[in-house]
Amino acid sequence: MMRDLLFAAVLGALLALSSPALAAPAAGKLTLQSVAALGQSQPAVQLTARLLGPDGKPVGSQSIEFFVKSDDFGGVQVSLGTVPTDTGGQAKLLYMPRWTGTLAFTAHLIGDGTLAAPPATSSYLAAAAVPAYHMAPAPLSALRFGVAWAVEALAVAVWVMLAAVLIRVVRGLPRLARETEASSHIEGVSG
Amino acid sequence: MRKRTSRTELDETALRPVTSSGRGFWLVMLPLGLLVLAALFAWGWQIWQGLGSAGYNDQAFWSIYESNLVTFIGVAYGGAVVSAILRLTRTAWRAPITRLAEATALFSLLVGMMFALVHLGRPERIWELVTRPRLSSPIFWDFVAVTTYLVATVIFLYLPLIPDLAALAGRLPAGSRLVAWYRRLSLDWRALPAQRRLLDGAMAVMAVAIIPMAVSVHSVLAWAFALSGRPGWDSSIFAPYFVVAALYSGVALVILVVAGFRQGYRLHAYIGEDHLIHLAYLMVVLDATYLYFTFADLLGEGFSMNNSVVPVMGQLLTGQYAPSFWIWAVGGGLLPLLLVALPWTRRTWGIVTAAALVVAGMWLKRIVIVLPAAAQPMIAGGWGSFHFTWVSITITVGAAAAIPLLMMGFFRMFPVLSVTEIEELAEEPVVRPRAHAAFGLPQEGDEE
Repeated sequence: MMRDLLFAAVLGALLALSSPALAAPAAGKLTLQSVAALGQSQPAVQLTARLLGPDGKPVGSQSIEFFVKSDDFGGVQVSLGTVPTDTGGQAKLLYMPRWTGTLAFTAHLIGDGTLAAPPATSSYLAAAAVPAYHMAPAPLSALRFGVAWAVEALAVAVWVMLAAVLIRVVRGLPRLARETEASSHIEGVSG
Repeated sequence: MRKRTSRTELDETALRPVTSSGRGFWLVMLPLGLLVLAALFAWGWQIWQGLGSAGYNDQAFWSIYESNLVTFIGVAYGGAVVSAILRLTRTAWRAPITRLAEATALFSLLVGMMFALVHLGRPERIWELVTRPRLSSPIFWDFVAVTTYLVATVIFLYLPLIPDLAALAGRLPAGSRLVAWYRRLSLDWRALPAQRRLLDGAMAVMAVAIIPMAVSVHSVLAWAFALSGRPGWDSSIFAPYFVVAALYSGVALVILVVAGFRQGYRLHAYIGEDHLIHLAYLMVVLDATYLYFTFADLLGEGFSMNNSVVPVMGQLLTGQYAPSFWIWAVGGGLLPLLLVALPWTRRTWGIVTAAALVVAGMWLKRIVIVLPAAAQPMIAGGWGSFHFTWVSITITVGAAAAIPLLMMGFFRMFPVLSVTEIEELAEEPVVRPRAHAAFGLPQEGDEE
């Protein structure tokens, strides 16, 4: 029994050492640069990640995922997309800022497991942004708060109508009873 | 045919729950009261521990309570609209069921409104809807629409009660402490022709007004979802879809309430199987309409193959929410249709079963409307998931128990039947169309 376990452990260790997939990945280096993209019709940032191998040479065909930090919902890293590196070790992504101010970008090496590199960060001061939402076309865009006030007026009108119905009944029924009582009293007296 | 009863018998039947309550009344009230108390305890626990104790999390931020709110307010809509339509069309068979329908509307609305507080997690913040209103938010308009509808529902229930309150004040022992209240609330009603005209006019205005009000409530509720832009909710048909859903489940609840009170309060002489059959026909028309809307909604969203919508459709039709969706489609959609369509199941038991399936099924449908779209990751991360906990289940069950509890409490003080209306309609000649025979409905001379 012990001999079988020992044999299995030795065999497993030999297999692990001989398998490239289970071997420790080589240490690479990932850098990230963010600059204003030129020649674009809308404000854009050119993100360029560069991956170097342990020997300092560019590494191609490795996936890089780009993120931007959003302060909404408690601060999350929003994925912008995944791009493979070219023969020059570069992965490029064009990003249109959704808000102005300092944008914090991060690039992560996903790769195939043969190479490891710590995430690279870069910040960019966006002076202009492309809104994520577009205004409704006319005439909807012209309505805006006019609708809110119109609906509010309608709500007030409904409340006035409800009050009018209730007041009419609450005051009208006893009044009609009194009037009938008075007229029957007069008839009784005159009769 | 139901046997014709005298005024004395009618008074006795309608006022019996007010003047005396048997052991059966308390045997039903006790468990219902315990369930409501348990729900209140669970709500207190939730306020103490936070919404996480109800299964909520960052990625399932709208779930069971939002579904409950839509469900309970929806059934309220059904009760009021059924009564309003029957009044406006002067339907002869309406008289014994309008009071029950109107009370169903009021009490399910009150319970539904409570879920806005439960869903908030911090109920004291509800005042900020008044002190810091945001006019561009559907939530604010939802608040306005629901409170307006509540006031209208109270008036709609109160106006037809006035003649009965006057009758009640005259029939109860003079020493009864309720008599003074009845006299005050009956507004010196003496059944004068001028009083009758005034009251009929006011009731007609309310019956007309309450229909668009109810439509507005459920439309605004639908827009709270649709205007968020989330895939799965961002649908142009959501408002009419919600309105039909509300009517469908509302008519089903009215059937359950009418059948329950008919049995429990021994109202067989006034509420017959034909009343349930009429309501069941209304229910299946709405059932077919709702199935059509569901198909139209899914086709429009699914066929576009939009990247953000297809995952939600996948979760709904074949993913983790598929069992709930298909249980609704069969149990809450097709089966009730069959139970009412087939002559041999179109009996009280079949109609009540169909209505119970609709009420339960439509609650499940609201869950699968709310959850998948809320749980879809919009920024980052994986799909969220909601887990039912004892807190959310206890609050939901307690809320469901609160409706019959409140109704039975209400009818402990007010007549369960609209006595004056039944009398007035009994004096009118009853004309049964030939279609009655064709569809196997009870005829003059039939005995139940």
